[in-house]
This record gives sequence, C-alpha cells and structure tokens, in this order.
Amino acid sequence: MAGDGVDIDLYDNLEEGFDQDNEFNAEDDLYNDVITAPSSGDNTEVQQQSEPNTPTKTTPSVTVPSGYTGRRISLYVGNLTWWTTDQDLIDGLAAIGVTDLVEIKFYENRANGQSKGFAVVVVGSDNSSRLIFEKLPKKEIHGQVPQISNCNRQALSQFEAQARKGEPPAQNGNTNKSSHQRNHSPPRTTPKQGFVNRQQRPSGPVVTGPPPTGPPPTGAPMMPVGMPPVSGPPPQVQFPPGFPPRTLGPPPPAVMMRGPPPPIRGPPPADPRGPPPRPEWDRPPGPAPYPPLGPPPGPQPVPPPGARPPGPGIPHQQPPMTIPPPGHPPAPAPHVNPAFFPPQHGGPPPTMPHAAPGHHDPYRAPPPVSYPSDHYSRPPTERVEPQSPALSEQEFEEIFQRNKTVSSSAISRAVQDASAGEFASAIETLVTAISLIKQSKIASDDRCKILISSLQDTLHGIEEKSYGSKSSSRRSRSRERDRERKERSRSHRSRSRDREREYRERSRERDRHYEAESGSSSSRSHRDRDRDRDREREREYSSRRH
Amino acid sequence: MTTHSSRTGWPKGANPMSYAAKYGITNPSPTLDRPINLYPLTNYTFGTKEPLYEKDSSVPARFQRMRDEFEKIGMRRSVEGVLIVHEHGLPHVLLLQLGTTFFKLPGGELNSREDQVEGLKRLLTETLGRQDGGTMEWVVEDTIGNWWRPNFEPPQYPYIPAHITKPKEHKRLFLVQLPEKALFAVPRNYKLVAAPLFELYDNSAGYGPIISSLPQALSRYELLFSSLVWRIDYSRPLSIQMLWFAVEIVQISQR
Repeated sequence: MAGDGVDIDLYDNLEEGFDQDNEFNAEDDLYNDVITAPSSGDNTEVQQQSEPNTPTKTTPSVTVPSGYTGRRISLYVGNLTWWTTDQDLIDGLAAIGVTDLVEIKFYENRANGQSKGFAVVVVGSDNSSRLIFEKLPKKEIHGQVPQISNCNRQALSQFEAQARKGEPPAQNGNTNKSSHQRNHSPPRTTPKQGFVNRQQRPSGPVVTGPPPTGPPPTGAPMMPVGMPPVSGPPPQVQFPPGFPPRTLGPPPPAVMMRGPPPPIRGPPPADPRGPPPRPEWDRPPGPAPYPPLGPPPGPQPVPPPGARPPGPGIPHQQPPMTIPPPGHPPAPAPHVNPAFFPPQHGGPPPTMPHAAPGHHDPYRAPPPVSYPSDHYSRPPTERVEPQSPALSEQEFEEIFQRNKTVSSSAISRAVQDASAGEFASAIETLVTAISLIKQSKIASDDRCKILISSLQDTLHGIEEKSYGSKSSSRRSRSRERDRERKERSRSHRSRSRDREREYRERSRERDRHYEAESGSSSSRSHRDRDRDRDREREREYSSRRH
Repeated sequence: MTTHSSRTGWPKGANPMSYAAKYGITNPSPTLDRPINLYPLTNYTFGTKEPLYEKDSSVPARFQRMRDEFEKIGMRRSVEGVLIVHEHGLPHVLLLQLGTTFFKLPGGELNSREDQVEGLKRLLTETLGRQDGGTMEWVVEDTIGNWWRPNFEPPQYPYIPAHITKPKEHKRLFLVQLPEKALFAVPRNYKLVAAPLFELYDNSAGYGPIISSLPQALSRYELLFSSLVWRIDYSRPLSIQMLWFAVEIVQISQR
C-alpha cells in the first residue's frame, strides 16, 4: 500500500456520525497520503439542488451554503433500502412538512459505495426534528418504513449491525436455501430468497412453472407493489438471462420486499420455496453471466449492509425479505459461474451472503455471486462442520500451531540432549511434549497424530540409543526408519503425507547432524529387523490415520 | 527492429479497417477490433519545465473547494488521459509521479461548459506540452471509462451508487493516441513514469482503483506495437499495403 501507512479515517468525526467502517485505506486516493489526514470538516452538504420542489428554499440553486451557521439537529434515519436516494428522503421530508433540511448524509460501504440503508439527516430546528420522529415512520419509502433515532452511538451500532446482518445469516441462509432443505430459520430464508431468485432467473422461462406454485399467496400481496414483471410468474420470463436481468434485479426483488411485508414470514414461505427452486437450480445455471463475480468476494470484506430483516427490532422489513419468492423470477440472473464454486468452498459461502441475498436483503450488493445450488450442498457442510464442534477453524489452527511448535522444539531439544549424552532429560522432554499434545483439544486430528507419532519416533530412537552402545547403528536405523516411513507415507494421501514428511525430514536432518558414519554391515541385520518393526508401526500409523 | 506487423493481428487486416471506418465506410462494428497504435518509449523525448502545482494545498482544502464549486457550478467534471507506449513488447501507461508514492494520470478539471475533448487537450498541453512553441498533437481516441465520486470524500466508483442522485464529481478517462514521435516537457515537481500493465494489474493498493483497473479497461483494444509506421505483412499483397501506407501518410500529414 502506497503511502505512509497512515490509516486515515476521515470519519472519526462523531458529531456528524461519519463512522464509515473505519475502512478508509486511502487506496482510492493516494493523494491523501501525500498530504495529510484531514477531517472532513463540516458537512454542510446541500442536498437540494435546483429542485423546484425542495421544501426549504424556493431558489433552484443550492440552498444551504457551506457556511451554514444555524442550528444543526441530527437524526439517524434507518431501515431504508439501499436504493433509497437522497432525493427520496428530501421528498419524504417535504411531504411531512420539514422545511429546514440542512443536510443528508448516507452511510455507505466503502468498498463499493453501496448505501447501508441509513443516513444522518440534519435539520435546523427542534420542530422539524419532532415532525420527523412523529411522521416519517408513517411514510413508506420504497416499501419500507424508516426508523428514526437520535444520533448516538448505540443507534449507530444498531444500524450498522442491521446493515451487516445480512451477511452471516445470509451465509448460512444462502447455503440453506441452496440446499433447499435446510430452512433453518425464517430469517435465514431471506437471503436465500435472493439466491433463489437469482438462480431462477437464468432459467427464466423455466421458472415460471414451479415458482407460481410456491408462494402464490405471498405472490399476491407482492403484486400490488407494482413492478409489472413481478406481477406474476410469467412476466419473469421476460428477463433475458444475462446482464440485462441484472439491472432489473434490484427492482424486482425490491418489489418483493415492499409488497407482502408483514403477513408473510417464517418458515412456511421458505418451504414451498425450497422445493421449487431446487429443480431450477439443478439445471446448470445456464447463463451464469457473472463469472467475474466469483472472485470478487474478496474485495467485499464488508458485506453490504444486510439489513437482515428478521429481526431484532424491526418488525416490518424482515418478512418482505423472506417472502420474495420464488415467485419472483425477476430475480437477477445468477451471477456466479458455477465453476467458481468448487475452489472456493470457504470463500464463496461468505461472499454468497453478500452477493446473492443482495436483492432480497436490501443491503446486499446485488451483483455478487450466487452459487448454484448444486454447489450449495458442499459449502454448507463445510461450513457447518467446523462450527459444530464448537471449535472454530481459527481456534483449531491456533491450537495446532501451538502443538506444532511444542513438538518441534521438543524434538530439537531432545536431540541436542541426546547427542550430549543426557538421554534422561531428552526422553523426558519428548514425553512431556507427547502428553501436551495428546491433552489438547485437537489431539484426535490427523495432523496432531502425526506430531505425536514423530515425537514418539524420536523418543524411541533416543531410548534405544540410551540403551545401547551402537549409537551409530541406532542413528542409521532411525534414519532408515524415517526414510521408510517417508516412503510409506508417500503412498498415503496428501496433507498428512506432506506434513509427516516434513516432520520426518526435520527429525531426520537433526539426526544427521549427530550421526556418525557407521559401517553399514553391522547395522544391516538390525536394519532388517527394524524394517519389519517399522513396517508394522507404519501400518499401525496408517490405520490410525485413515 | 525494422518492420513489424501487428502483434495482436487478428483478424488480419484489422488495420485497414480502421482507415475504412475513418473514411466513413460503414462498418458493422467499428469498435469490435479497435486498433490503437503504440510506439516504443524510445520514440519519445522528455524534457522538463516549470513546476505545475496542484490547485489545492491539502486534502481538506481540496474537498472544501469541491464543495464550494459544487454549489456554484454543480458536479465537477474531470478528464484524464491515458497515454500508452510500449516497451519490451508490453504496453506501458504514462503516469505522473508526485512524491514517491502518489501516481496520477495527466488531466484535470474541466471549466464549466468546456468541451471534454478540447478540455483534455488543453490540460494535456498544460501538463506535458512542450515549451518550445511546437504544437502538441493529441488524438483523443476513445473513452475508456467513467468514475463517479458520490460524496465529498475520496472514494470513487465506476458507477453511481443507487442511493446517490447527485454525484459530486464525474471523471472520464480517455485513451489518447500518441503521435509516432513527440517531445514532452514534464513539470519539475513531477516524474513521468511508464508503468507496465502488469505493474498496475490488481494493484489497487499501490495505484488506486482507477489506475489499477486500466489493464482491464485497455484489454478491449487491439494494440499494435509499431516501431515504424510501415507495417508490412508479407502474407498479403504488397501493392495493397503500399496503398494503405500511402493513405496513412496522407492521414498523418493531415492531422
């Protein structure tokens, strides 16, 4: 990253509540690095621009100049769809009777500019503020009822959480949805909906069949929302799979969201939806037009605000999400090329939530990836597994790393001691290490077993050495042993093999250091015997491993 | 390295097609194989001139000026030129380096109501134009991309986010076809560097999203690496090629 590595956060200015994820990495404007980290000053951003219907001033030009010095009462207006514009808010406020709007500033995802669905609205008087509190929640904007709150950290974090919500549940949700079977929870279905729709889209024409059966009841309420295509399953056919649909994507899902809000909620919608989508998904996601979207998951570390409806505190929105419906073929075409799916088991799932649910979850970036259902089955299992044992992957890795360190340091110390003749302490070191690893949570894992076995081998080597005078032959024997084991392990599979080899090599290298050149003849007979012994041991190890 | 036909020569004869298009002969999709001539970096000479300082002394000042101007004239329109040369068989983009870590494309802000192409030419001449009175021939070939700034903040995106009705700045990138040989004068406070495409690719940490996405944006062009004007393709009738060369000469002389 170019620059002085300064993490410039222009939005530390809480007064204006600009906390945009603290993700300012000055990437898009290196100029900032060259100069200094500024604060964005006062945002007297004027929103009304030559709009004759602006509530505040009648002049078409900028109403509030940068030098606005009047009172500033700030409020958070949240629970908006990501396509709710500033103009929508202005119009809404005008309709309520607020005349002194100073500024509107949306919270956005830095990575892609998408709105998080909430904004800071600054007005010039308490009266306006009161009006907003009272009347704005009664107005629907794009089918969602705005949630107003004072500007405080708690509200901010609540809105941020709401925005982010779509992501994690989405992950599971999507996978669930995709798997059709796991409608774990109603909320989860929402993101899935996105997927469903997405995926259905490409198979547009086909979709018309099943979807209608799905949520006919839900479909009905949706209709009124007015998106012509949405008015019924058939219209969806009109969406050509491919890019054009994409643009239509948001609107259609949007429609879904607005429509049937409250009534439909929960599992029921999910179920009917489940099966119908499945057939579509099984059809190769035909036009997967957005292959590039696969990889992009990376760049979307901050999932578009998921405004996950289900939820906490927001009675209204959520249901719409769940509903969307399979019935709404207008769903955007699947953006993901199935080819991307397999390699990214870990990756895509997280991104999935971002992407697919996009449409449903108003704050999900629509474009992103929707993974074909075929692949869904895989990720869900992958994801679920690590989580269920209550040992996260990260934790697992940590423990494993620790074990690895323990074993390698124990081996090196033991070998040193053994070469110095202090067999007792060497053996003790190894025994301690073995027991430490066995006690760890992940002792049953293959990799840990390898660690343990390598420690045990070293231990045996040292023990034998300490018992006998044929140190050189022992050494060469252990070398033989390692070599054989290495050869053996080659026949075994992948990772364990590699790691084992690595450890063996490590211990072998160490052995080599202290090895004395020995006459091979005397040790040959021992080698043969040991070879048999080793083979048995190998077999034992391998059986354990497999 | 005398003559050399186009590196990415498919379909053959794509070069003449562009001339056909220039002559007004209808072509079903003139941009399907849009050929752009690139000349070696060594064809160009770079001199220096007086420093050209930025209008804003600091980032906050920059955004403040942006706000003020937004109120007066509305959305800022910026234009930037992508000048490409080639070296070692790979296209390089000319960038201005400010300091050690900041890179930008030549260009700047348009005055209100100024035409884009004219404005770009003006800005290019201001930035890189020669000082000895010679005219600079800038051929603004094509639009490469558009980027919008939704707020008075650094982020820019190649689309207008759905919730933004009034972006604050609109930046347009143009591909500028350089003449076969030219002399540039680089202001002393800048360094002019030629960045190979692989250096920019996927390197938004080093160059920002706009510059680092140039390789993708330029990939649609058929870049003709020429070291001489004469590109003789021995698989085609020479007489026809001579004819096209003559045409080309006429064109160049008319620029």
